[in-house]
Amino acid sequence: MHIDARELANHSLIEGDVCIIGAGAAGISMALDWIDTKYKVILLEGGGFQYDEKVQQLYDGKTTGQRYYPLQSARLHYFGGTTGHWAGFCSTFDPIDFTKRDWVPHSGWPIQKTDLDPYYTRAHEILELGPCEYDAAYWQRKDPSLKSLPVDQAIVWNKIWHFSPPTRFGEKYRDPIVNAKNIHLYTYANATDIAALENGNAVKEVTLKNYAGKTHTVKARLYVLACCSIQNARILLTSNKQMPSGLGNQNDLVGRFFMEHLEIKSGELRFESPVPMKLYDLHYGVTKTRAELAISEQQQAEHKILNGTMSLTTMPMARHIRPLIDVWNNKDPRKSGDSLLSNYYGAAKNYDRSKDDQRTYELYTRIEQAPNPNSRITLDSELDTLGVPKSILHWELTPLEKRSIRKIHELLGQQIGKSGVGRVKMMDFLKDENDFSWPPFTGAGWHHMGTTRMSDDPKNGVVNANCQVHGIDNLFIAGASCYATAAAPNPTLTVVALTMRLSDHLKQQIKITTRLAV
Amino acid sequence: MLSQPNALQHICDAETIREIGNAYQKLVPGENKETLIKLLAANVGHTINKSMGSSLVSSSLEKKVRQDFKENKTTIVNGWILSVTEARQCALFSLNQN
Repeated sequence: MHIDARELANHSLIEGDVCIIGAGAAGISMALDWIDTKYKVILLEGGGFQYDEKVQQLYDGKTTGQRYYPLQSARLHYFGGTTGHWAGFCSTFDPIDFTKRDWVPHSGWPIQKTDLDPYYTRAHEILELGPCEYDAAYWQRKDPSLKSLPVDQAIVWNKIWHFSPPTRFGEKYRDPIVNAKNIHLYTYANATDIAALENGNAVKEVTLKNYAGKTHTVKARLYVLACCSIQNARILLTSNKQMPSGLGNQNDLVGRFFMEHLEIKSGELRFESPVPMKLYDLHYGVTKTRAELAISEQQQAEHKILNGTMSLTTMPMARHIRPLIDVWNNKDPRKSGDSLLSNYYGAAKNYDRSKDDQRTYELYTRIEQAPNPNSRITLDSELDTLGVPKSILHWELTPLEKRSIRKIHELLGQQIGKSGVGRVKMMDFLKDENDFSWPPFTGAGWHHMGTTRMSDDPKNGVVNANCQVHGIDNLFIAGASCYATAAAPNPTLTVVALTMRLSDHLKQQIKITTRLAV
Repeated sequence: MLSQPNALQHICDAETIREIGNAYQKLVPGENKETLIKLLAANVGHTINKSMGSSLVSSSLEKKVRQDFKENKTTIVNGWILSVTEARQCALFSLNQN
């Protein structure tokens, strides 16, 4: 059922079994999994079903350090969250992404890829993806025209990506959520404070506010924070009545290790003669799967580099595509979104196919950011209209990212040269191996990760392997803020998979608490 | 003959090859024209003379370039990931142009 929190009597008390704070990809995936259970689930959304300027402004914040997009437009604040404008790129993390790598400081998760594998299959259904198959050979058997570049797959391999329609959660899942008897969706219900019990080991209640001037209270047995990385950190930091440094922040980790995916034009691949490229092509809206070029785990270890992939776009078209960081520059996400679409559609329109000899491709790198405690979210002294301190993002990179991008090009260049089909050239900003500065066109994927990172040790992470906030028995976090490392792929698929895993855990957890109560 | 990097000639123009050559000379200033000729000629496997067909020289060097890549004897010049042999060919090309 749906309740507009603006219409409730002021100071209403809302009670249930599970309270999910945030109705984006994570929150809605979780709620869907609890439909028709015997539990009352309260799903809180700060906005309504449509874009609302006043609500969107609550995401305003400052940025320092590495140039970044306006925070207000980097996430959407209404039912469905940022799936309202996501592009649908999906791929699984690799086994190495979960391991402790001695060359990547602060790397290592307390879970492994195999722990997530069953949940990737479930996430595929939610995101309306095809079969959960990531072996390029599977797709090549189905379509023999998907030829691989002649590279040694033990060094450079074809990492498969799937493309969601993209699923707009707000449209696709509105009816199932609203029609579910045990799911109580509250819109215009912004969580502004999470109050803990006096000893701090459990959440007592959540305060809701909206710009209609109403304040309400939610009490539940289990709480799931699912507002995405910046907002998850923000509400934990601002919930400081019982714990002065903020909830879960006894070790000064909340908000730290903010990570993004670096996305940047980085080189070119020139062939001596045209090569079949269908395996790597992306015709947006048509292509269901494609490959990007990735570096094997063995090579990553040998060269002590981060995990990243390269996509290929025919150069005559790529020349017309402006860097993302220059295009997405308006605080209004609708205007930035239009600008982004114009960028791609304009490039497609201006690209003269008749002059494309299919021999030159732009290399575009997407790569994980090394976990960095100085890359972080803090609170501003300035408040939003609901009285909550705004966020400050300090985005900071390390030399490892740049060294890794350079080495990835070198490895691909060696493979392409060895195969005799062409040569690779890295862009000027990568030429000097001792230069760790970044060019002004350095962009990112709007992928916010890592501000409540996962670790079994409270001194190294905010949540444990079950996404439970260390030291707070009934507070859990869903979403990319739990990532200990970022991997190369866009985060949504893994967000949904991790949320399904958390959902299974909470179903066990709530049975235990029910038995104890009896 | 020695200064014609076969693969590169297919994918870039003479000006680019000259620029690569100039950059390589800056990277390895010790390899002057005489040294480059010696190093490249050593890859041909025969004494080079005027009667020798250019295709023999070209195919010998192409073979050496492929061998370089197999043995990771590569270098990064002006952002290009090249075999050391073809980088030397570019250097000789630029010296001949100059």
